[in-house]
This record gives sequence, C-alpha cells and structure tokens, in this order.
Amino acid sequence: MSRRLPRFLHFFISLKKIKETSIKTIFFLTAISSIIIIFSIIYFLFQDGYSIFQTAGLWEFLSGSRWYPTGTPPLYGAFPLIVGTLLVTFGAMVIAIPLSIGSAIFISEIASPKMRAIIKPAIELLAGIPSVVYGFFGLIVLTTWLRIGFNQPSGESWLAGSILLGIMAIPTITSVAEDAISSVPKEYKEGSLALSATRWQTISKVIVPSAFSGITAAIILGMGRAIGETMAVMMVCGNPTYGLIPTPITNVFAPIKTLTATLGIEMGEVATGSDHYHALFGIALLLLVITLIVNIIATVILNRLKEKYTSSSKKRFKLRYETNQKIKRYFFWVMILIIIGVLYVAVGVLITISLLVVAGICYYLNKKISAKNIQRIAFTALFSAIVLVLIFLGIILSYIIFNGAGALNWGFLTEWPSNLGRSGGIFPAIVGTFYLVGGALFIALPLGVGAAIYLNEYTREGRVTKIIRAGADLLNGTPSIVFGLFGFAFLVLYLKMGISLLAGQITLAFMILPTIIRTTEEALKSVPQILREGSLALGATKWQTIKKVVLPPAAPGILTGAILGIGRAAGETAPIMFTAVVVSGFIPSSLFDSVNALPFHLYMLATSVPDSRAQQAGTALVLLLVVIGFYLIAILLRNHYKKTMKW
Amino acid sequence: MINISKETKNKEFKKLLLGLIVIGVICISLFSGCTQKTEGLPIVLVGRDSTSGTREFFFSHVMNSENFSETLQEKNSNGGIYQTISQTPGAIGYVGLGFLNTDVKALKINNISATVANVLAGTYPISRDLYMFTKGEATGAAKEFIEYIQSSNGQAIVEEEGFVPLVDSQPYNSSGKTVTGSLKIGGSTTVFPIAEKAKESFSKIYSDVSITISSTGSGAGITAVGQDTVDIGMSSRDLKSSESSLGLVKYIIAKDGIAIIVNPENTYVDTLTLEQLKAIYKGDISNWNEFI
Amino acid sequence: MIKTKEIITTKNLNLWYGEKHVLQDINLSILSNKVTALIGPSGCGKSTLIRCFNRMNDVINNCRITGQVFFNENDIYGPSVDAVEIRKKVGMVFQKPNPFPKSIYENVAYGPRVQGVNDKKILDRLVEKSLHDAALWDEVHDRLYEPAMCLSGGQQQRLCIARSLAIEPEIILMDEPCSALDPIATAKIEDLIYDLKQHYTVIIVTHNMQQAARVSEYAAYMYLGKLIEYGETKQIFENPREELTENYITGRFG
Ligand SMILES: Nc1ncnc2c1ncn2[C@@H]1O[C@H](COP(=O)(O)OP(=O)(O)OP(=O)(O)O)[C@@H](O)[C@H]1O
Ligand SMILES: [Mg+2]
Repeated sequence: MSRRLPRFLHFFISLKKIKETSIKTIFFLTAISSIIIIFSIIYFLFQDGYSIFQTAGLWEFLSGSRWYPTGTPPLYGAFPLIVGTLLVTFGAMVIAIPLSIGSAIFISEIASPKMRAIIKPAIELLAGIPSVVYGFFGLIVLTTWLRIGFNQPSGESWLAGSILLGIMAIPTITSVAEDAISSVPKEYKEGSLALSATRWQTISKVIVPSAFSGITAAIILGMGRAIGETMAVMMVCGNPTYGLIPTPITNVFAPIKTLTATLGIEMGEVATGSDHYHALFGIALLLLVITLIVNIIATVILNRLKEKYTSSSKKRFKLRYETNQKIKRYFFWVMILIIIGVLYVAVGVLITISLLVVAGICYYLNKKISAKNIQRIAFTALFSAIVLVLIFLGIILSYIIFNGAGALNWGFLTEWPSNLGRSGGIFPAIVGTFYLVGGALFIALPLGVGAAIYLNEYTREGRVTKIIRAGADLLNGTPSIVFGLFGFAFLVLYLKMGISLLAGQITLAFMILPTIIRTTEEALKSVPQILREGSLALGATKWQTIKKVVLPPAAPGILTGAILGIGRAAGETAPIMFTAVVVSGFIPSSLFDSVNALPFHLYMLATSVPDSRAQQAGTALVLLLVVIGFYLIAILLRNHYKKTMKW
Repeated sequence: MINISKETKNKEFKKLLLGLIVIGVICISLFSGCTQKTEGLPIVLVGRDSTSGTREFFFSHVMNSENFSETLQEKNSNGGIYQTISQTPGAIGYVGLGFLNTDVKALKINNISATVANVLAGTYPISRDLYMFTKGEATGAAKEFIEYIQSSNGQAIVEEEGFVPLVDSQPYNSSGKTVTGSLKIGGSTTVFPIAEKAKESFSKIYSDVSITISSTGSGAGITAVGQDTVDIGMSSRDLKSSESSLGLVKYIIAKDGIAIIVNPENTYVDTLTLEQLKAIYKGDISNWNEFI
Repeated sequence: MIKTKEIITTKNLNLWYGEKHVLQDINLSILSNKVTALIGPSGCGKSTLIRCFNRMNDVINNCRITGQVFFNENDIYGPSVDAVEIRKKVGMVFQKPNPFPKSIYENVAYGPRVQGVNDKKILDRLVEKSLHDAALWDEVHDRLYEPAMCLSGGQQQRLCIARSLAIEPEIILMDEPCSALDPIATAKIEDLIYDLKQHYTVIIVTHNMQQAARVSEYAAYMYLGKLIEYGETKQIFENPREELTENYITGRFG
C-alpha cells in the first residue's frame, strides 16, 4: 500500500515517526529526572560525608555520646542527635496521632458535608503555614507559655519541639488517614449498621480496623515529615551544645538537639572541606537514610492497601490475617507495658497506680454503659479533637495577624529595609521570594508535567513506572534541609554557581518536582479514556492527541498542582539558606546574584535582630499571606474544576 | 420494645458525665502535682554554636579551653542569644557589645562594666579584634571598602553599632578615586552589621559599586574568601593553623567587647569574676541563689 | 400454623434523593411469617423501599422522607425512635455478600457483641445456631476462625444471612441476595428462605421472576417509584389486575 504513495509522503511519514519517537524520548528523560536527582543527592551526600566515617569510624559516629566537632580532639558522636530526633518525633506523634486520627474519623464519618467543606480546607491551611512561621510562633509564644505554665527555667525544650512538630504533622496524617477511612468499602459500613451496631461501634469495630494499614501509613508519613523538619525544631528545642540525652529520658522539659537542627545551626559557619564539614554531610546522609526507610515503609503499606480491596488472592490475606491477629495482641500488651514503664519513670509509683485505677474505671464503665452513651462520649472526644486542631490554627493565625497587622502598611511592602530590617520595608524579600518560586516553577513544571505525561500516556503500569514513581515518592519524603545541603555541595560548590538565585531556584525546583508530578498525573487520569481513543481513531498521532485532546482539559489540574508546588516552595527556608539567600536589601540583577527571601528574612529578624518584633510579625504575616494566597488559589481552582477532576 | 424511655437514658448520661468530670479533675490535679516547684532561679546557659568565632574566643579566653557544661544551649546568632535571654529569667549568655540593650542586663566583670570606654582603656577583660580577610593584598573595590571601614568615617559606624573603634583612624579620602564593579562580602554574624551599615554609606560615595553581604559565620567567610567565592571574608576570630595555607591577608577593622548578659529580672548578681563565670559555664554553679 | 398479622405497614410513604422523587405514596402492608417479593424494573425504587424498613436510608445525606412506616404499630420514623433499636428487629442481607474482614466466627458474633453480649458460651451457642439456620454449619464448623473472605461467594452470602439471624430479628430484608451467585448457590439460598419463614418474616427483592414465583407467597410490583400492584404471588403472576404488571411479567417470560 505504502508503495503507491508519492515519495514526499514517505518523507513526511518518516519525519513524523522521528518526531514522535523523539518526543517520547524527551518525556522519558523528564520522567527519569526524579530518579537521577535522588541518586545524585545520595551520591553527593555520600561523597562529602563518607570521609567522616573513615576519620571517626562508622560505629563511633553512630554511637559516640558527644557531638563536639570543634573540640580538641573533635568528637563526632551523633548518637545523642539521633536520640534527640527520635524523642522529638515520638513526642510529636503522641500529640499528632490522636488529634489527626480523631479529625480524620470526624471528617469522613461524622461531619455533615457543610462542616466538611469548612474543616478540610482549615486543616489544609495548617499545612500551608511555613515552618519558619511555626518556629517564630514557637520561639516567641509557645516557649514562654511552657516556661511560665510549668514553672521551668527555660521553655526551649523537647516538649516545645514536639508540640510544634505535632501540629505540623497533623495535616499530613489527617489527609492520608481520611483517604484510607473513606476508601473502606461502604458495604462494610452498611453491613454493620444493618446488624444494629451504632455508628460509633461501626467506626471502631469495622471501619477503623479495615483502614488500619492506611492509617499506619499515614502515621509513618507524618513521622517522616516530623523527622525531616528543620526550622521550627531548630528555633524552639534549645539545642544543647554536645547533644544531650535528657535525664531522666522522660524529662520533656530538657533541651534537645536533633539531626536537622545540627545541620541548620552549624552548616552556615563550617569551614568547607574540614572534617566538621564532612561530619555534617555524614549527618545529612544519616537523616536521608532514616527518612527514606520511613517513607519506603509507608509507600509499601499504601501500595498493599491499594491491592487489598482489588486483589483476588485470598491466600495471602489469610496468612496476613492470622499473623495480624497475633501481632495486634502482642503489640497491645507491649504498648501497655511500655506505657506503664514510661509512667513509672516519669511520674512515680503513686500516680501510675492511680492512673491505672482511672483507666480501670473507664474500662469498667465502657462495659457497663450503653452503646448509645459510649457513642456520645466517643463523638464528643472526636469533636474535641477537631476543635483542638482548629484552636491551634486559630491561635497561630490570630497571633500572627494581630501582631503583624500593625507593621503592615504600604511602605512596609514597597520599601527597602534599613537599619538591618529594624525599619523600612521588606520589598527585596518579597521580590526575591517571587523570583525564587518563579524560577523553581519554570524548571520544575516542564520536568514534572513531562514525567507525568510519560507515566500516564506513554507506558503501561509496570516495572519502569513503579521505579519512577518510587523515585518521586522518595524525593517527596526527602527532608528540605537535605536538599539545602545537596544544593550547596552540588550547585554552589561543584558547579561553581556560588550562593545565587539560580542555585536556589534549582534546589527548590527539585523539591517541588514530586508534587507537580503527582498532581499532573491525577489531572491526566481524570481525562476520560474515550477522548484519547476518539482522537487516535481519527488518525491523530499520540503527541497530537496529548497536545490537542488530553492537555487542555487537564490544564486546570496541572495549574493547581503548580500553584500548590510554589506555595510550598515560597515558605521553605532550609533549602535556600545555604544556596541562595543573604541578608541584604538587594534585588538580584542576574541569576548569579544572591537574593533575600521572606522566610529567610523572618528567620534572620527573629534570631539575629533585636528590637524588631513588629517587623518580625509583619514579615511573618506577609509570608503567611503569600503562601496561603497560593494555597487558596489552588483550592479554589480545584473546587471549581472538581466536576471533571477526581482528587 | 421500640419505645425507648428517653428519660432513663439521659439520667445515665448525666451520671456518666459527672463520673468523667471527676476522673478528669483527678487526672489534672495529679499532673499538676508532677510539675516540680523549683527553688531559687536555676541557671539556663546560653551560648553560640561551636563554629562561631565568638564562642571560640569565649572558649579559649574565659573557659581556658575547658569544656562547657552539657546543658549549654546553642544559638547560631547573637540575636538568638539575646532573644532567649530577654524572655528567660534564669538565662545567661554572651554577646558582642553591639547587642546590648534595655531588654537584657550586662553584668560587670571583675567589677568593670562592659562599655566601649572600658574596652578601649583595656580594663574590661573580655575583648577581641574583628577582622576582614582578602585573598592576597586587597585591591580595587575591596581595598577601598576596607580602607573606608578603617577610616574615621567607618569607625563612626563601628561605634554607632556598639563596637569598639580603632584608635587613631583618619578620615576617608575619596578624591580622585573611582570604584566600580561588584563586591561580595561574607562571613561573621558579629561583623555583619558593621559591614551592612558601611555599605549603606559607602554606596553613597561610589554609586556604581554593588555590594552584597551575607552573614554566614566566621568559618564560612574564611572558607569562601579562600575559594574566591567572596571578595572579603569577615571574621570575629583570627585564622586557625589549618587555614593559614589559604593565602589570606588580615585586616583588623574593629575591637569588640564581649558582654555577659542576663535577664533584667535576675536580681541575684550584678558582677562576676572570671572564675565565677567559668564555673557557671562549666556547670559547677547551677542556681543563681548560690550568689546570695 | 402461626397467626399472621400486619408486621410492616407504610402510609403515604414518599422519599426524595435531593430533588429526585424516588418513592411516591407507597401504601403497603407486609404480613408476618410470609415471604414477600418486591419486583419491578431496575431503578424503580425497590432497594430504596426496603431500606426504609430498617432506616438504612438514614446513612444517605440528601435523603428526605415523608409519611409513615409502622413496625408492629410503632412509627419507626417517630421522633423518639432510635434507628439502632429498629435494626435489632429488622435484619438485612445485601445484594453483594459483604462479610467483614474478620473471621467467620467474629462475623456471626458481631451483632450479639454490639448488643452487649460478651459471654463466650452464649456467643458460641448463638454462632452455632445461626450457622445451622443458615445451612452453613456443616461447611464451616471446622474452620470458624478462618477469615470470612476465604469462603466462596455463595457461602459468604449464607454467612451474611447467618450474621443477621444471630441478632434474632423479626424480619429479614433481602436485596437481590442471589444476584451474585450461581444456580446451585441460588438454590441453596432459596431453600434457606423457605425454611426461614417458619420463624421470620422475609422481604426479598429479586429480578428473577421464577425465583419470585418459587419462594414468595406475596408479591409487590413497583414501577417508577409507585406501587402498582400488591397481592398473592399466584394471583400476580397468573392473573395480574394491572396492565403494567402483566407487561412486565410476560415480557420477562417472553
Ligand atoms: N444515594 C442516592 N442518591 C441519589 N439517587 C439515588 C440514590 N440511590 C438511588 N438513587 C436513585 O433512586 C432510584 C431508585 O433506586 P433503587 O436503588 O431503589 O432502585 P432499584 O429498584 O433497587 O433498582 P435495581 O433493580 O437496579 O437495584 C434510582 O433512580 C436511583 O438512581
Ligand atoms: Mg436495588
């Protein structure tokens, strides 16, 4: 048939083919970019970090009890830092788990649609508050409350860090747990209700156990976030100099130093190439490994979950079921023993016994009172959880707004800072922030959209997509300070970009890449398959189909993802702290100049410039408005296009 | 069988609520009993992070290179220390003279107040030099900038910012000089305010020069100038032996007294001896009431 | 023979899903200890109607109901009535078998447990009796602690029936209980329904005319949210009063 075609048509056909394959190749390259990035992060951290394992010894590094890299002799014991990280995370989880799971249950099972429409965005708002703003609030308000409220010499403590991290982890845990709870088949719920179970019995005996693995994954993801959080922890935890394991270990008012805080504090001042410098990269590597493990576990659980309701393989379920039962019982008793042990150490015999008695009374009451009243109590508890979360939100927001509003005026927004930011405005920081996120988006959007198109349009689900997705997931779980160190080692030093706008943009771009990939994929998935088939059937090539039929309806979704991404980027401090920002009233004229940015300006004001309380609060407010503005736009867009998009 | 008597249920509920409230009250009172009452005013030690020039100076001149107490809390800036001291009654910390203000109280050392005059006179015991480094002799804009800071014009800023000026400085002479191009400065957080303010007036003399200053810490500043990523490195400490091979030239631009500050609510002490200060930072003295 | 009475009566029952008027003026009396079949084309509101009998529509957000449903002369939509109490008396079996992801034993014991029965001996007895009544005991008695998900579809559906028997209801509502099953499993369930009517009132929704004819004594034909005809099954099938009914039945039989 093709023989009869004129020559020039042959030419066009082969040209078309070349075009199609080259387009596909380009998309493939964008798709593997996240894998390349995660590997180069590991590579550069390792390259700069491994020598400390030689000088200090890996075991000494992991188990040494003092962190004193500038001492003579220098001590590189990261153990107290690891313990610090774990303790702060543990405390954060104690606070976050009940609140977020309570909120998740409330949102998905109890709240009316109207309430849900208010509460869900409110909790998302909590995720939109930049961590440096949390830190600012913690440093000024929370630590003072703790110091006075508990009559402690200092409020900068383990507890302060845990409370902040707990609040910060709530949105992550809540949204994933809510997804898990909502995806429990409604047949279970109806089956249980039809058997005359109350709503609470249905929730507690059927729905939550069925969503158990999803909830676990939510908790682990929240934990990953908490472990990797830098700014807030650094500002409120006290940071004892050698790293200090609290004595007794349950002393929540002891100051504590985490892995991330160590990096945040010491990285800026360390002599490049020194042993100390390598030791910090060793810490970053450690941090990355911990978060990677945590995130891999969560991903595996979530993937299992996806299969759970679809797979027909009953054998595996059976095996897991039995072990599950055993593990659950085991877990229960171990937890009880641990709790009793902790209580005993923390508060002494008498109080432990009385608490146990109280618990016993509760248990007895639980058996005695009617299901209806248990339901009332449970719903009240769930309601209080959500109210508490909203109160947190309200306190933080109102503090920032009331204190910041005074400083906010036209001059503050449009003038250059003077007297180290004590007077004048924050114009360069605002401009710098927009430069940074704009550039980051410019880099991340093509990569992310390309990757999503490749994943969704050019391949079938298989090993390749699994690996690419895993890469994006890992990138998503990488702590922001690790991006900062990577940017410093790779962009600033290795590529000789210097502390520059460009280095900051690239670092931020890497950070928001996974968000963009994920949201774009969702947007593409929501485009019905029939549209594609229709276009292909009309003789359009794959790329024409994507360009003309798939991308237009997916555009709002992609845009939403992009805005969410820059919202996140605008609030980040740690990734740009070593790569792009300096304190200066200066607007960059080239990509290789350094910039200022709102979160960094706030950080500097809050920690380095006395007598600038009004400017601090004003900057916090502006930062908050910028970030929340982005989020609001994204949420509105999403709601507007909800009919065509499934989120 | 379907009609459920609402009355009885409500009674049960009320009883239950009462029970829960009682349990809650018991719990709260138990927990409030846990927070121990403290005697006197425990000392909260605050200091700079281990890479700071100020800390190194404090470590060698006050601590005589003996280790700090384990409970020393690190801040990575003078302002961070100031912030914590001003909101923590029992805290003690050390900052450059420039950071003194009414929210904190500076202690006398050996009965000498921490003032510029006393540092100049050489009676205040804790003081040091502040430096700028260039790679090789300073040239061009860098040379002029350093000269400007060392001049009496620059030293006025030094004094304004609360540091101790150099003696015998001459007015800056800009006649016949043109300075253009860009100048990158980075390093010590202590020196940073001087450089930042000097930049403001320096730019008025030479409008064609663009200056960026980053405050990253002494160690980073020295490294950066050694690697040519900045033109001038600021430092609050002298070069270490490991840094002597970088080929840097040292300029002393000011002196700095280190003030020992406590919260204004702290009425236990007004003056400390160096030995007492050391004992406090070693953790041997842990409560302010030991000074009564 | 046990005395029959009107166990469920609806009066001017209307139901809306949002703006959609799904049930229109339903007036119906169901007799106790009989099997009543609900038939009618897809989407006519059969499921919706039986879900009114145990207030399962409460779960649906935008659902609005007027009129009354009497169960033993009590209005189940009355102001002081608790849906949970209704569901203790009116059990339900769904179209798709929906055992919980628990063991067989736990599935059957679930109902009694939520009603506060915790005595292991009583539970054991209840579980055995219910499984017997649902004609499942012989097949599962040696693997009670295995997950219910491991059973076949037909076994799962009988487990669901056993589960609702365990709370000793007066009425069992069945919404197309056999639609997911093969003919053998279907036959087993039909036998079971036949046995159940000794002790229970059964209301069954089905699309299978032969099944309706085989198992039911009374039948109701619904069309577009209205109750068109209600009477003895024999009469409805052999000699329908309404033309709509006749069309539907004959259409099915071809
Ligand atoms: N939750 C709901 N929200 C809105 N409309 C609903 C809902 N459930 C059912 N409907 C509508 O109510 C009508 C009756 O539904 P119902 O499920 O009772 O039909 P049915 O007779 O059981 O049909 P089938 O034989 O297919 O099961 C249908 O038109 C359906 O679209
Ligand atoms: Mg139906």
